[in-house]
Amino acid sequence: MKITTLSISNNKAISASLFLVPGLLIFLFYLFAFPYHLFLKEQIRLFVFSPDYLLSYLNKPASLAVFIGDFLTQFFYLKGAGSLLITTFFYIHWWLFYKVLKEFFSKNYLLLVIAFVPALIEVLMHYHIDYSLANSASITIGCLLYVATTSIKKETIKHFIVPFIIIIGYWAIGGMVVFYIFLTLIRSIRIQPFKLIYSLIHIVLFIAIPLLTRPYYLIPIKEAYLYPFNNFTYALPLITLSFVIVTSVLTKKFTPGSRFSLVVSILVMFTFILVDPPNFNREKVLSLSCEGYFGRWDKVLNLSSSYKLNNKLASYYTNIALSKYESLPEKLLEFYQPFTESLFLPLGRNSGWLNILSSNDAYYQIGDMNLTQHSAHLGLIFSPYNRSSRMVKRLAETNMVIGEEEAAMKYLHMLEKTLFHHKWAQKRIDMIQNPELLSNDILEKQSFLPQSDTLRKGEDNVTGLRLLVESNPKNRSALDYLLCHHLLSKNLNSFKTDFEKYFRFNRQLPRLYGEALLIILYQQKATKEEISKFFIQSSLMNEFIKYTDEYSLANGQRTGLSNRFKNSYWFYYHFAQQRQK
Amino acid sequence: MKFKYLIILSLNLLVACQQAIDIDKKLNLLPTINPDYINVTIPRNIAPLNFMIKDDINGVQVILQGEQNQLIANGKNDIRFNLNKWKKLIDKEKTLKVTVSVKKNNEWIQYRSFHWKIVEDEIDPYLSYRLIEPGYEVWNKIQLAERCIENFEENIFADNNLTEGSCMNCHIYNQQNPSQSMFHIRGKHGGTILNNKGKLRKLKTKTDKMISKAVYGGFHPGGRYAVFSTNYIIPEFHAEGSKKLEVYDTASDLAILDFETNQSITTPLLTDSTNFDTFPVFSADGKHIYYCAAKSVSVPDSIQKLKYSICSISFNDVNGEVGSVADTIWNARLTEHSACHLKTSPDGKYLLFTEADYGTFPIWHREADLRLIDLKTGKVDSLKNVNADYSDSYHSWSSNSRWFVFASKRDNGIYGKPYFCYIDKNGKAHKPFVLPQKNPAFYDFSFKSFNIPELSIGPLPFDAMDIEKVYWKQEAESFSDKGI
Repeated sequence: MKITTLSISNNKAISASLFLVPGLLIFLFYLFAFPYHLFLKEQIRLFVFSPDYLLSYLNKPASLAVFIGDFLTQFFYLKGAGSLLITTFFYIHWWLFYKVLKEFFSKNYLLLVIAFVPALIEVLMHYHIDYSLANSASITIGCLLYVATTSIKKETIKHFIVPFIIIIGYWAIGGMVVFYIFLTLIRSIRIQPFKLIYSLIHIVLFIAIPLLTRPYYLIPIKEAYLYPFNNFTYALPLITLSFVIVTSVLTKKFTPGSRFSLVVSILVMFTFILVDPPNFNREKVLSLSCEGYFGRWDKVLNLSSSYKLNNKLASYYTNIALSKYESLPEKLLEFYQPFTESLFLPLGRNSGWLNILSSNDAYYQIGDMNLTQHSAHLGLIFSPYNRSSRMVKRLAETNMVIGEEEAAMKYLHMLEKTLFHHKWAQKRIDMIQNPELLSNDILEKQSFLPQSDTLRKGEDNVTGLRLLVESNPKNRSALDYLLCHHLLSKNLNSFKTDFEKYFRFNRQLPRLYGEALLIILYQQKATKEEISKFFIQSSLMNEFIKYTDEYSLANGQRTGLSNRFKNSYWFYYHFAQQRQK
Repeated sequence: MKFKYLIILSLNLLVACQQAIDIDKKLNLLPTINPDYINVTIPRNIAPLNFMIKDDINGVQVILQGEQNQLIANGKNDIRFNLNKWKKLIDKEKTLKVTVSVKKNNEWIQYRSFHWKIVEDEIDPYLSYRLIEPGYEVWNKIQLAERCIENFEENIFADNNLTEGSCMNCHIYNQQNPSQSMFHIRGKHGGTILNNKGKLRKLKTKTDKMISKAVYGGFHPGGRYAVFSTNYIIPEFHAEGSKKLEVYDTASDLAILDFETNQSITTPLLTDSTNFDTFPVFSADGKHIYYCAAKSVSVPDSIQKLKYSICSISFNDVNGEVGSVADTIWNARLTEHSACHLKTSPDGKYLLFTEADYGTFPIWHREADLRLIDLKTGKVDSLKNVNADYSDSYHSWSSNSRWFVFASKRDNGIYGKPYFCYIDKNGKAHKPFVLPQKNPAFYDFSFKSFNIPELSIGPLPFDAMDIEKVYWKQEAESFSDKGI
């Protein structure tokens, strides 16, 4: 008797473990291996508790799913909440897929395994930056609608009610309603006698509704059928599930004995992972972006030092962090530098939304408030959902700096109506109402504001930097960005001109500037007196002599040079080449 | 019959009694309401002026008191009038006394009353505008919308989501008549979309003699011609944060397009490379073209010296000939300012324009204000009642010349909103008011700017799906230079 009880409780423990372990692994994966993707997903959305704002969800199909998705995505702001939500959706989908499969197969433990595969694929979709909880919610609602339909006993009522569900379903889950129609179609084939007419009505409805509602939603045809999915591969979980069901119907084997389906669906999952694996490099880049957004620039530097990424965006955030700690010229060449694009990200319609979203951070750091505001507006416009809490915060800050209080208040009042940014907004509103509370960051940026005006092209960063340095010689960030910009573009003449004009020797000459000056002085065959004006350390001059010797010996080949010169400007000047685009 | 009125009166009194509140305190102050509708002049056909109280309150009551009727509305912190009751009320009244009471800390406080003056001159009931985020160089989502200002219905008649994300420019009417209107769509399949009683044409307006496609312009009242500027446009950024963007021309000429023959008419006077000519419009009778002209300067270095005058030149609509002498209507040299966005009133009496310190792109110029020229006397009204701290520009007349609409950034300096202004028979401009919205907090939660508002007497005879079809499927008609 005891042995039997023990074995039952052991079985239960094993079953519970088998059930809980996947969830735990998913939770831990998104919590520790992929948290910054989730943080960013919150930052590129804005959920405002205002009637008009909420009503705007009716402007597109899948209103309910997108509303639920956006509402829940707010919680991604909290560490762990995103992982928890994804895990919760995993269990919901696992259970719902199991319920759906039960309609087509005789009950068997293998159904749980088959249902597990598409549920897991759906979880994996979340490592895509543009896969949203709205997609998860639409899958959930689609399955729930199907389960609810099957619970209706009378077939006649069911036939009558399904068209209404399809119409409401399009409003609620958009193009996902096709999955609901597919399930009802397959079920009607499975249950004899097959009523072709009803299935035809359902298919016609699915084709017609997106076309008929397009004048209201104003979306292109492809979007009308896919929305809220913006990528066909994101429907892979449902395609896998549909495949299992179709093969069972075609082979008329309504038992999980059709292990062929199981094997194929598992293969699909592994193929998906192999073809489209989680992008851990992007996660690293996003960690720098997000930590910068959280104001933890020391962490940005630590992470970047450990990653050593050859990535433009990673270098961009590293450079901002270096500038924060006034060590941009000291450490610039310790990191990958793809010419000036690691200082300022190019802005344009084809720059990619992540670059556009990030482009304001460097301008804010150097105190160029006009381009900060411009970039933040573009970040807001080009972010996938045209609503971004991160950009709205930046717009509020920028307008506080330039003294446009009404504009700042507009953004702050908006943030006040959010769940997780209202305290941030309230603090800034207090600052506007009591200027003595203004933060040092805002005050410092105000002191950087240019005293005169000029016009320049958006991509002409040098003119803007010069104006900032002229307006406030204490703006060290702008000065270092200006000089480093010249050095990274190998424009030594401009470097020398601006160095002589703006650099003050009340700070130690950074090694990078010393190295660049030595090249210029060498090229100009400068006298000792001329060299002495720049306070270049003698040890650096000795190293330069060694470098030139080695360079001559190596016949200008990089392979012949010692490793110790790899981070020198001399090495960059000789060997850095811009990749052909 | 009398008995019937007695019943109605009793019911009204009953309702009023039910809604009456005991005032604890009266303040000799005007309430702070948003939008600012205090002491404004409104047309009889306007939608309800819903507003909110920007204060921490527990309730608000508003009494609209006319000579014959009153309307009482309650809310938590905003007031939304019932559309039917509003219509009934303002249909019969000339002035409404507006009394606002708020519940604060459990006591009702009544503010000093203000007035809404209702005028017989109606405003054109439809308003079109471009909805765009103020990205000021690059765009993503653009919609052209039409709003019935007698209620809150809005209709999107062009959406760049359906046209590959192409930029869409100003939509303009001929004499506020929706049966003829046009706008430009840029992009691969774009062109100037010309609406003639619902029949849509796509025009490729660039000819050999023109320096660019058609840009800014206006219809001839007869409908056969339209006058346009053709410009090389350069956008550049200011260093100063609040000025943001400057857009200037490095060259600009004028051309008249003949929609019947698909020809472009140019003259040496209007294509002189030493001059910049832009923002042309026809006079109300079609016999003159008004436009902005400046001596070309080196830009951007001398941009602050780039000041446009208002000129006029004759036009013969029988043979499509342009005069050979230009008159100066408003001289930039004398005022040391620059004119742009000319709009003649349909009755031919006035010319409304924007005056800025320099250049032709006033929307980020804080000092940009509207000015009204009396074309008979040449007298310029500085419209002190109308202008505000931030840019006021992009205006359009109502067909009766008694109202105009303009885009103003007065509320926050970034997002433009349509404001309506009444010009009485003596030419006096009244305090303007913003386009009312169902939810008075609408503008606070919108990321869109209302660009280029234009009034019209009726709804447009096409929709966004028609524009999608024209964009993708219709071949563009070419234009040639006249005489070539």
